[in-house]
Amino acid sequence: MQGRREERDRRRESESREEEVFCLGTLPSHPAETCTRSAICQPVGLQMVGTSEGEDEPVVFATNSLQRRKKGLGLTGLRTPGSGSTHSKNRPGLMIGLPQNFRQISSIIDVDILPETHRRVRLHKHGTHKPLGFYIRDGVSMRVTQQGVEKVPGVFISRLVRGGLAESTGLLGVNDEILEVNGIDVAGKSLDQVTDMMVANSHNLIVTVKPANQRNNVVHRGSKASLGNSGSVGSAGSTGSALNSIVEGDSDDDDDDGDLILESDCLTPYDSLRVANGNNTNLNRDSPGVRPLPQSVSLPNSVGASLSDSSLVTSTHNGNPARTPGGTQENMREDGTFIT
Amino acid sequence: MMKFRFRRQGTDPQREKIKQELFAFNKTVEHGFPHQPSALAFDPKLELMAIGTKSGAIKVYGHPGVEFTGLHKDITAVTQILFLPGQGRLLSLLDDNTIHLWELVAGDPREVGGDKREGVVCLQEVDSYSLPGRPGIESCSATRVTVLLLLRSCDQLCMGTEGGGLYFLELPRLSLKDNQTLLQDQVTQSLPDDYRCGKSLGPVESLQEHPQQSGKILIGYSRGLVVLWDLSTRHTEQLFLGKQQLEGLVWERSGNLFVSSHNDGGYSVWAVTNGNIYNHQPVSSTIPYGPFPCKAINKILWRTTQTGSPVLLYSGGMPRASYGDRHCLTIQQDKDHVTFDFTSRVIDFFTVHSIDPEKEFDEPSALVVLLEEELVVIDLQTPGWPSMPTPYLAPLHSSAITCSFHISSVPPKLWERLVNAGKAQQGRQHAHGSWPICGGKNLAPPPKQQELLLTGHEDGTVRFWDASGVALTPMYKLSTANVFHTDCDPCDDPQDASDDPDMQQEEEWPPFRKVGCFDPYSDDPRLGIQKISLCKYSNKLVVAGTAGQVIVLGLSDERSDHLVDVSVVDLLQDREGFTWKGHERLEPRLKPAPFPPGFQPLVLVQCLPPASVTAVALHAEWNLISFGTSHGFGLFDYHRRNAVLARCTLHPNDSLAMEGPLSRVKSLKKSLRQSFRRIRKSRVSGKKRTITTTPTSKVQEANAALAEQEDVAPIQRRIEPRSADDSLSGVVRCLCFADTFLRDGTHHGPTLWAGTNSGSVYAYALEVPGVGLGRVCERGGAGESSVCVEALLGKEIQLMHRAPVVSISVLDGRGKPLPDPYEASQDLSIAPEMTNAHSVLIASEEQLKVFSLPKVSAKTKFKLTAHEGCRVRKVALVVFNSTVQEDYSEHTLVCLTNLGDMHLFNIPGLRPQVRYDCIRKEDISGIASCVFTKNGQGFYLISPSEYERFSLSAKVLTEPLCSVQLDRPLEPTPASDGMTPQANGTHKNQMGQAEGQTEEPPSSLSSPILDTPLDSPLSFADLTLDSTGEITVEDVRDFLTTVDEAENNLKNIKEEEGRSAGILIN
Repeated sequence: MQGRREERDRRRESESREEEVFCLGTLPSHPAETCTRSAICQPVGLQMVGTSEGEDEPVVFATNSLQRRKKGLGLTGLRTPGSGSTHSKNRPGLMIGLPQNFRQISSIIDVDILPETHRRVRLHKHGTHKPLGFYIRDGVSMRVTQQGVEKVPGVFISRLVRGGLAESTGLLGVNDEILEVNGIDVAGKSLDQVTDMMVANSHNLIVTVKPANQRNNVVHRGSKASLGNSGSVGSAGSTGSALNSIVEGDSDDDDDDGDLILESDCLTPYDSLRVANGNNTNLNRDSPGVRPLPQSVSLPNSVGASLSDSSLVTSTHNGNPARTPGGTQENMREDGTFIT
Repeated sequence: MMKFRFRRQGTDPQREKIKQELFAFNKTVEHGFPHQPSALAFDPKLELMAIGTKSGAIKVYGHPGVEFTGLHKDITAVTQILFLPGQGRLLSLLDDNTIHLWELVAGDPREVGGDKREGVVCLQEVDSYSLPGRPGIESCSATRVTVLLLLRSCDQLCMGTEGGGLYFLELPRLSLKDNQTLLQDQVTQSLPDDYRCGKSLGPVESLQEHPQQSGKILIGYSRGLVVLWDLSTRHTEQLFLGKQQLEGLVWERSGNLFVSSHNDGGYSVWAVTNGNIYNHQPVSSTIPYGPFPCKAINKILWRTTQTGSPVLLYSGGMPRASYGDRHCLTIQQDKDHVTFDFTSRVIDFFTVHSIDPEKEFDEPSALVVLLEEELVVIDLQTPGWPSMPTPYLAPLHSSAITCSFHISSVPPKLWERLVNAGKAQQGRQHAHGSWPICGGKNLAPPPKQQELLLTGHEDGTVRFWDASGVALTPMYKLSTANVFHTDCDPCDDPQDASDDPDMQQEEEWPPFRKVGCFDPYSDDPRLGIQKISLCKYSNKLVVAGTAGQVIVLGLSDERSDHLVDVSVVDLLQDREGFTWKGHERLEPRLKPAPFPPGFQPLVLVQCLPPASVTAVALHAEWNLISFGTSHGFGLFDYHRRNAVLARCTLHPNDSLAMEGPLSRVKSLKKSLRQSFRRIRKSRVSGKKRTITTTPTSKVQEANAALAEQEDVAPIQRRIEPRSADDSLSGVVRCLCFADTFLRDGTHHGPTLWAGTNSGSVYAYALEVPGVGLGRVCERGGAGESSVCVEALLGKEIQLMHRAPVVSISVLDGRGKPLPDPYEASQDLSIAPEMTNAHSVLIASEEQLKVFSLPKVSAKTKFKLTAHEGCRVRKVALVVFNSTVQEDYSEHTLVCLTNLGDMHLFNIPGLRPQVRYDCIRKEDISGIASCVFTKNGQGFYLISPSEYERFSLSAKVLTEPLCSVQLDRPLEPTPASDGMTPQANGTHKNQMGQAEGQTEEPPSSLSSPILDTPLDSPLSFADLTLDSTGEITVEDVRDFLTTVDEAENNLKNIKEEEGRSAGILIN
């Protein structure tokens, strides 16, 4: 068992055909940059063709596994011309940042183990201001069974919000049927249950869908390399037959312990000062709400001293933790802990 | 990885067995008053009373504790019930024109508390009958049964119909006796021509058997004709040619006369003399509330007494113009005349009187009136006809229930004082006649411990109920309204005035007397009780309400006049830019007020802004209370009358919280605004809205989003993570005091924990004078009284998923919950383990998580929402005792979700144990009202007036176990139909068809074997699914097999796994 798993993992490693969509990870810290960012984060699709819809030309960064394998870090492939018609539309003056400034916002995963008609999409909410930006609804799905075609209730994507993450990846579409949420089959679950499951997993949402438009499917070996607008190229060795509906669990779990824990140093231990532990940076922090009431004894002096400092900290804390400056984001993505 | 985690672990048979010994789900009994009663019957021989409801339930009551419940297959209103006296059988007529026969049958012998109880009976439907339409009469309404009459011989049932026909059924076989049928034509033939005048006689309105001569029945037709019919000779004996539309008939005991009541509000007395066949005029005819037009007298009873004139009892008959809207029942005897004025509709009534045929008089002893919302019993033997307290069927909803709180094993001292306080309250208003309905025998063992259920009500009262047994009995009522100065009671002593309505006999005619306690109208909605906490050792009670009032009360046996101290705590803490647009605070009473014996207010803490209190915690040992609203939370030392802490939890963007409670007015305003917006939007629909608009306020944005949603499709859900900006994010959801390690791992001390709607947890270290750290360095000294309690913020935890924090509890070194205040210091429970590291269990709507202390790092977690798609609504830590091993128990986390199912997890491992479906997911008020006891039982509202009691424990069950002495031999239940006497009556229909069927014995529910294999990956001890990232599959395997390889934080899980190891018992 163990051996087989390893083998499979190895195989997957080598055959991994993750389609990854990147966008600039550095978030603007001053308004001047906002316009640039918004331009960059415009709808990006699996389609290599620019999805420009008028007003602003989106810059598409897309890569596929082939390029990625060739170039090592896939991003460098972006600069090479000729990976699609997209680049001809690039604004010449636009600077593209270094690879570490890019952040994954979505990917297609488990291509090798899913049937061709299904697609497993991972949306990375971390660090974006963008809403996930989609709606789901109840609907009726057709299933082919031994008795013939059967109508069963299903959950579908009903709407994509313009400018939202879901739309910008281009990996999800209206009327796509949702089959799984983070590895859990949604069959038999109500719309509200599926909503709750998605919200609960929203920081790292993996949805398995049956796209309404089956023409853009990732195509396996033997098929023509490109169909329609699909930018993916079939890779060798994919069996495509192993239907295993279970998502890798580690990915599901990893950034979940990211609860933010703030400790106040005014709470001095009795014997000695507390040693700051490695994971949590201790903050000299007293919340502004904790003004002592007139009746109560005043707080230790250290608090007062730290107050000016803490107000700054508080503001970052109160905001979305994702707004933390870019330096830590790589870190965040790796182990999922937020450190302020 | 996940695929391995998902793989179902082979279930450990030993563990499964222990689970069966610990957990079992049963709905045991319904407390309170049946929702929407529709029929009433009484069996004078067995002294049992039956109530039918609109949802098709039949509930039989006898002696307190004796209860049977049956449910018809169809959810159809029960329109009539008849007992077959002494047989333990009853007949019910449903709205769908079917007749059902019910029997009390012997249940399975039950083992209760070690000894077997024989003779337990339960109610079961045995037969049903539906009257076929007559050939030739197409209209089905012609054979619609209007009245039933059971002949005294009990072998025949007589049915009067809409078409005026009379049909007879043989009992108990329920077969139609065709030759007996009496159609209207046969009666019409014998009528004089001038009376006949070509019109139909109308439906049969009343059927009454002659009290002395069996086989003679009185048939009353709607048009007014009354016929005395002899069944054996099949001919009309006498005709009473009434001209007024008939409503009801009643015989006098001797059979010499009968009384008819009419729809003009009058009644007539007719003599049954043997001479005349035709009687044109009654002996007397009266309209008691005339001369102006009156409403009909629906039912009339005539009861003779030895001492004097007969007692006349009738419902209705009120003057139409002035009192047509009142629900009245009149008792008249000679000059005594009382018009009982009820707050809800009279359904039916009966008298309890002598049924001995040898006796010459009825001698009524009690009148039982079933109203739509309560049961009122009038003592007819005591002069003045006072009302009697009911030992069960109490109207829980006399004012709407707003919250509830349960206390297990109440100390006898407190119990006794509460009983006395309650008696003092009741003394003035109730007679002390014995309860007239006392059939059956309660076989349940006396409760091992006293249990209290406290309900908070909209009118500011807190009611204390004896919840120890099957009958939920009112004990004591506390009113908090007199702490405040309200416009509604200018009277100085509102409690007294409202307490004895019996004394207020108005001088007007009719002589009204208000009875009953159902009063749905609240004087001031701000008085509503939101949260209750009671310390059973120190008798301190905290009651918090809708207008931000937090009242600390102490128990006193003496009446006292005093002024209540008032302290104001501003939770906004000079946050700027917020204006409270909600209700005003309640004005405290400025003059000393009289407080009757019982709980008397000590301090009133007023939160500002006066938003509804959302959480309270009481630690009587430290003299501290904590309270939270949508704006923040506070800590108050009620001993020194000193506010220790106020903390604002508002998010700067949260403007919604400032607009006050989501009142009806506001939501109307909101919806109006929304519809206007929609209209406007549709007008400009051509123009696309720009996405980048910055909405001026959160509310607008929310409304816009809502409107948008509505426009596209009615059923669609937005997928968006919770953000810090979500409205009402600052609502404090839970508060908790604990003596634990917050500062460092070696010194423990008092702490306060608060959790909010947006997943924030604040932990404060408290310094309480006299409460030493680790109880070692007791600080003595003279200056102690001047020392104040201090609170220092220790930790702030922001849960990543930002879901509302539902509960926080601290677990000791063994992973057991900390004992309640005083329990440890007074050796009432095992002292908490203070040497090993403590941990804190934080339950949010989405996840359960255990963090180690003092360094808050996640140890174990369970992501309920991510896996099941359900959200946590209620959480409780419960001790489950084993049915087999006397001294074995386990602490378990019980979790009720928004889908109405119960998930049980072990602690601190958070591994799913079992799952039970409990409440319908649509029943939001049921889920919201659920309250757990500490030993694995619980209550939830199944209607505004009824609590369903359930048990998750295989050991602790409070269910009706009763026997009835019957005339017939008790037939044992057919094995397959074995129905345990558990009464999940009325609302079984809500539980789905399968359960609602009588053939499907609910006993199947009690078998844990059947319950566990639900289609959930969590049902079994399939553990790994949710453990922290550190526990790999290999780890788990290891710890399942070996006991001694213990990692620190998994120690307790292992303890539970290793069967051989002695298990800690609490």
